Amino acid sequence: MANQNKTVTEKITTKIWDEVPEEDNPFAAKTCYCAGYDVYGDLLGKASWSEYIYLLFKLEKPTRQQAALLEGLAVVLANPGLRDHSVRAAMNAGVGGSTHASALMAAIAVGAGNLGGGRDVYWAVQYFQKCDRQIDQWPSTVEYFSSQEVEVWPEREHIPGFDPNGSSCPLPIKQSLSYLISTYPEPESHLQWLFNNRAALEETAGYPLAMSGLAAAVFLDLDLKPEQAEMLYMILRLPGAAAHALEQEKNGWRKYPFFGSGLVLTDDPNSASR
Amino acid sequence: MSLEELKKYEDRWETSVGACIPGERVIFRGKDLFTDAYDLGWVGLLFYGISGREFSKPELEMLEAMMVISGSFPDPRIWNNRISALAGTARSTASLGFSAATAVTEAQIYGHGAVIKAFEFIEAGTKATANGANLEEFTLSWMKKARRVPGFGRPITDVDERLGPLLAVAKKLSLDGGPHLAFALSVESFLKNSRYKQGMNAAGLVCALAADMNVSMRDFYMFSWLSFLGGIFPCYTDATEKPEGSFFPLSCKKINYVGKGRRTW
Repeated sequence: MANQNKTVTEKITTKIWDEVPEEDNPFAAKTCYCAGYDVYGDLLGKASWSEYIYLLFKLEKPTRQQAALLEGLAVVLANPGLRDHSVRAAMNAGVGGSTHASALMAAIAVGAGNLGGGRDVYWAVQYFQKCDRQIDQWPSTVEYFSSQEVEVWPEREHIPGFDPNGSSCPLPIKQSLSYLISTYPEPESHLQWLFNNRAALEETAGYPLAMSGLAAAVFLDLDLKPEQAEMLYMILRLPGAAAHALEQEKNGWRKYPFFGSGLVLTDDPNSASR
Repeated sequence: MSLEELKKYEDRWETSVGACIPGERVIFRGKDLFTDAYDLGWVGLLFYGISGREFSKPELEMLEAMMVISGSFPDPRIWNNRISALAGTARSTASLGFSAATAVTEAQIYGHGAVIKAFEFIEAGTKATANGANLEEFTLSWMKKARRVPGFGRPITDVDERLGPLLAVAKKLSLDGGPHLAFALSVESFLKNSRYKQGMNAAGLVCALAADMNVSMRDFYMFSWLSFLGGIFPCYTDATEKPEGSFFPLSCKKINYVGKGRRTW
């Protein structure tokens, strides 16, 4: 890493993006191509948001069914609701008057985790992939992944894609599953398999299907890799976090729970003065 | 967790970590922050917060030396530092830049991803060889499993300039006599003379030294989160002092496009 006197032209290699510079400025693009498509001269106005997102990840146009499936999932995930950990993180930024960027970063950081977050999807995709729509393979798949490598992530404490704190599969997940299957009526799809075998999968897992599990099946049907699924899941859940953070910023901290009497300190050295 | 258990947590969080009593005092793991905990010092307080453990002065000096020596490189080309510099040149806030840069430090080829793997290897190897395992066979089994031995070798160059200064501090503080360091040095000796020609890197060394101070892998992982901040801060200020957008700007010709040819939607 020593300083070098000679200038070496280093480039960024990409299959995603190409640019033609303006004649008067090599730092400004005149034309931008995404996977070969002229983004502002051709694609804009023709491709929907979900089609463009699919193109960015897959470098090909989606079929109509794939685009509809992704569009549906984007609506399903857009707002996890204000009780979700990631949205709560964003609202905490809002009530304190933090930067708006920090609200999104907070939502991503918290919503990245093993419990219903991006990492849950990352692993759920791999579990379902390994199982390959064979319900009789599900118990051995769960067993296969029980050995965990040491990594920066905490150890997984539940079967990914399922809710360890759930009682039964909540209605919005069942409604979403039914709707998404209607947009993607492929009998061999992961979604259909999930729909057909939800009860058996939940029985082995020991708890009900979570939204992360549903999303994992969709991402597999979109032929996305686990890491692509992980990232896209986090992106798709951000709109709700942003909206709720802004709302609570306006409402102010006085109208937001502080859990004022909720903290129970077990080793106060001077408890008599509390 | 069952529904009944979950309900018990609603509006109730039992903790021994601490609390703020507004207008009165702050309790930090059973100590008054402004009196008892204050005496721990900054590094001592951080570790006390992580684990509840209080370190001796030489141990704290060793831990602080790790932070100074192992990650405080104010070179804005290093990937995490570069984010701090980019935040500066793009005129984002320091806090956002630092937060993103430290998050990115959780990398696999350097930073905390590498540290936690190195810790695992050194801890497991020290234990295994103490129980009679062959050091060379143990090391090669990891090489076979992961195609590298965590804590050894380095991208760009195999020479790690941080080892000498770190070992000098450990020697000065008499913290260089533990079994984990002995194991790590033996592995280095073996790998350097093998066909792999790899030396120990700073991650390997700090993990060995920390393990010899009975610091756990997860505790050290959390502590080492701070170790790059020394370099991250100045990369931001440097960029903000220069014209906006001036940090290694990319012209269109820096794109090496290798994807699909031109087509219409």
